[in-house]
Amino acid sequence: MQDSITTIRIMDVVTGTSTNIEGIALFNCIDKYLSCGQKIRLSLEGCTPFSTSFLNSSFGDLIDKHGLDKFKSMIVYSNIKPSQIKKIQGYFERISSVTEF
Amino acid sequence: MIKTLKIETFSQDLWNKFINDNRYSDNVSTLIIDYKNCNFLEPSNVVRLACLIEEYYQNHTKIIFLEGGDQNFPLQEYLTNIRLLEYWNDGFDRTTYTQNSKISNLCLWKLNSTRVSPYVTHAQSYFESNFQSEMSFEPLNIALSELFNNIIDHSKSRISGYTTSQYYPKIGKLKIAVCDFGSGIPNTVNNYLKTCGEPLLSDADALKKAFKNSFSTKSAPHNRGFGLDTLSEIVKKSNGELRVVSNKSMCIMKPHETQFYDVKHNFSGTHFEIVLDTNTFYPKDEENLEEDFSFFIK
Repeated sequence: MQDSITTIRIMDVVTGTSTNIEGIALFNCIDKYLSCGQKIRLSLEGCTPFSTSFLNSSFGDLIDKHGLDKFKSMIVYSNIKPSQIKKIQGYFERISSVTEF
Repeated sequence: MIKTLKIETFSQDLWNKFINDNRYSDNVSTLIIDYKNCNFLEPSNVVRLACLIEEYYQNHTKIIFLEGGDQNFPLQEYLTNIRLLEYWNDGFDRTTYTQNSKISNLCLWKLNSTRVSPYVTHAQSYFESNFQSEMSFEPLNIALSELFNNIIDHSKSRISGYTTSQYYPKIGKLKIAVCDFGSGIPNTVNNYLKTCGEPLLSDADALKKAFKNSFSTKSAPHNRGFGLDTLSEIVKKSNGELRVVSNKSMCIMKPHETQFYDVKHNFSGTHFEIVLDTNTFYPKDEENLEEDFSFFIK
């Protein structure tokens, strides 16, 4: 199971990426795979811009639970734009600056 | 009892006093909004007025607008375009956003926590399709999301909040206004400090603390204190301006300076006005990477 990779398209899980509620839905979807060691390809195809509330309750809470290194190593991103890479990277830096792992 | 609100072309500070002096009081059966002597309303004044009217409306007050006729036709046209004049009519659906006949502004919208994503997506595509198809209005989308989440997570505003946006195509400036009648940012910060046993701050210092990256009052469990800092970043990157009034404090952020003040008149809630320079926005035709991307470095 650990060698395979599951593709999740964010916009198949949520209808938007603005609120905590949408972030929690993505958290629940990804968490079950990470918890059993399953790698994920996260597709950003058609994705709307991320608010901090959405990132906090999805990526942020996953990082709290699994650690930043595991989160980074278990997820690859497809259909991602350079500006989205910058946004996610900026979020990782912010969360690293205020959290001890 | 019938109460009449006489709207004039007030200064920004007088607007705070006007709103504060005219908050809902018992036994007002009819509220007349008389704008005959007003010839101009900024989006920021519109959202403050909308919150005030909503407070009366929620207390079962009948709302009547007293139009000004030909002498203030441009204002009349503006208020009609943003649907303010029909917003509290029987049958008007305030839960969703309404379409607009004029392309330079978005209709007034009462914040609905279940429709934040559809609204901000609509706002972004509305201006992109109407004006600058090659530029991405993503900063508008994110700024609105941060402002709405701020109200939803922290404000405890009984009337929710109101927003409207205005685009000025000749100069490429976009003005966003959002207002709520909640507890206010300084009060929320000081309530949090009180629970932590820390000394309380002046309203201006409390507002300043709220803007500090990673400071959170933890009003909602997922909060990490990044929201207002993100908003500041958007404003600074877009060479914009931000004005916040909350309780007895004000913040004015300009491209090269940010100042926090204590002010004379209390505003029971929070009012944001943001101006973004869309000439600084990025092109929207950015290509996806062809290959998978990983942030993991072995």
